[in-house]
Amino acid sequence: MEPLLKVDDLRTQFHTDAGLVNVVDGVSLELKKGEILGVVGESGCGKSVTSLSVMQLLPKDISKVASGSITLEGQDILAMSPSRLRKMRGNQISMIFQEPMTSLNPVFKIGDQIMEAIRFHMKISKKEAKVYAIEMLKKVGISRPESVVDEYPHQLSGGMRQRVMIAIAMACEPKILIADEPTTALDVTIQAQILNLMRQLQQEKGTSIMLITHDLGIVAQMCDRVVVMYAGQVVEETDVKSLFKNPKHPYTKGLLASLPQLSGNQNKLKSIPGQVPALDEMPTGCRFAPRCEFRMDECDTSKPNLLNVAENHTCRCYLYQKEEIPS
Amino acid sequence: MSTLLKVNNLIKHFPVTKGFFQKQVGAVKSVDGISFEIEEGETLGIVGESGCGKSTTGRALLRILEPTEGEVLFDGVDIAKLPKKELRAFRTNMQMIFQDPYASLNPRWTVQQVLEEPLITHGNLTKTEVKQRVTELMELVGLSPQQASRYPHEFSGGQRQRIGIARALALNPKFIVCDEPVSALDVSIQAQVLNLMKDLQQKFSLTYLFISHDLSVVKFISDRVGVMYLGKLVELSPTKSIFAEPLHPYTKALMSAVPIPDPEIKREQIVLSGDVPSALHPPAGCAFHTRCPVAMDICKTLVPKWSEVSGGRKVACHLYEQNHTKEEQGSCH
Repeated sequence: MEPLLKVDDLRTQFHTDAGLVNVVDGVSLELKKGEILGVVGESGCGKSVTSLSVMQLLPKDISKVASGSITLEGQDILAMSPSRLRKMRGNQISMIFQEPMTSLNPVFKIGDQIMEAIRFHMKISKKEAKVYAIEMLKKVGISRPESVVDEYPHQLSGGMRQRVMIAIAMACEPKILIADEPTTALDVTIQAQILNLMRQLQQEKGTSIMLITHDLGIVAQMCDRVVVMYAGQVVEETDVKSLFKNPKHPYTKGLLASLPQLSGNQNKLKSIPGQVPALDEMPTGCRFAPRCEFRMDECDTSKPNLLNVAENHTCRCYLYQKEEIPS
Repeated sequence: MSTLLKVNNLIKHFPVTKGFFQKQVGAVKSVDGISFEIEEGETLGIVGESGCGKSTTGRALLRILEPTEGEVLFDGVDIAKLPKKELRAFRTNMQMIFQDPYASLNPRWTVQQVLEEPLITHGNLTKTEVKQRVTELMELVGLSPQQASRYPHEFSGGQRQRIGIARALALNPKFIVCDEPVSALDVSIQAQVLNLMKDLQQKFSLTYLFISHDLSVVKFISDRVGVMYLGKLVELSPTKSIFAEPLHPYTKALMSAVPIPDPEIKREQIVLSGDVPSALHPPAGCAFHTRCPVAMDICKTLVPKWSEVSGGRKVACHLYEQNHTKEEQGSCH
């Protein structure tokens, strides 16, 4: 089946004081219809920049997509005109952001902000749009939608604001929803509400979701497939069960081992020594090599490729060179 | 073990004023009458959602914020009533590690200066002794002493938090309030810092009050855990028993809401409806009754008592008040 969204060998560059750096370096991923794809990694691994590249929302003056391709149902997003992009955003692909506090405009009423998207994409009258906006608010579980449409963002709590963001994002029934750390700023009980809501919408409408998060617990609960990123590259990709049961890449293993568990007793956490390399000081070989406990000589000198280590399971590591299966 | 810190009915209200004469029209009841004890050498974890008053509690204990009412007995001395001058000297016993390693270090000071300051203010060490102590502290937290002349921006988040820890340790305190010390860090780095804190605790027999919103982190580091909701403690139990069998409905909901990093585990989730009410007008009776799945009529009017249920487990809930037989506990599931 042709994937809905296909990112191929994406390279996104930023101008920094240290010169031009590749923040995303050769990322390929696919989003199939109706699935929830998790993109995990720690800060600075390029997960958000990948999603901003897909939406073409990168700050133009300091960054650009240097090479690679992004296609939505076979159409090249990188070649789209600004007006074509505007038609795509919100209608075919929507995005919700981490900060529900700052992603709504403080000087416009909630209703106006939902109606803006509806009226732009659906060409319906103001009255109809308002009815539809109230309906959307009801759908995302806001208790008194009739009065909330006329309120301003500061009158709502964080959880309600994120619900409003979801209402805006889902208003035009997009095929793809990109959720960039949608619950990071929220408390756990509110996080549970929002995640349930996203899952429910996904099941009802068959929306594909690209869920960007650093929380492996959320990944385990929500996702079908997972892409693990480290320092701008994909290091492992597989279905969610294999990732947690049989992680391959030393980074994924280390990440899972360093989580404090809610069940069982732990006296000491396993941690990954050192820290993520700076963007302008990337190692010449494997980017994880300086922190890796299984490092070999070749890891320092040459870059490993993504290998097929099992069916639907790829991993960027020399340890599995012998085990590679032909694709 | 002896009790190091005993807190009696601690209250911190922030007045809300209005108009030209700053007339007080209300109060945000951030911490509304909590009592607990911390044993020497133990870690008491405090969990709760944003706005529940956990950070305010930590700050009021050290008198970074002046408590409105209540007693804080540290080794028998009431810190809450200590005159300013004595307090200053007394503070060498208690220190704090802050949440944001980016904001809690002066960007214009080198690490040397950051670590020197408490030593110069409180100790009477010679210049060489101070230098020696700084070297010692840096090695203790796993930093290279050669980095002492660097500025905070040259370090990563995890390293900055290590500097914050070294600063807290400088005067050999007995008690450290750790306010979300690993919340701003990535998991792999978080594990490093948590291990370090545990090692240091053993080495210097430190007592921690560990404030966090992350239940799994609290479980890892604490001996006992207190759960706060809207300015009050709702449950306080040894770590093992609270995670094995949470008593208060809020604790139950909180625990079931944490996503578990294992896709094979499918469990019943208690999803609370609505948001935390405002601390300006907390609900009458039990503050949790507006969201509680098992609320009864009595909860709406009567504040539940803070009482011991069994073996060192305290809870404030009407379900456990009259007699806490097993059958009754079962009925709230």
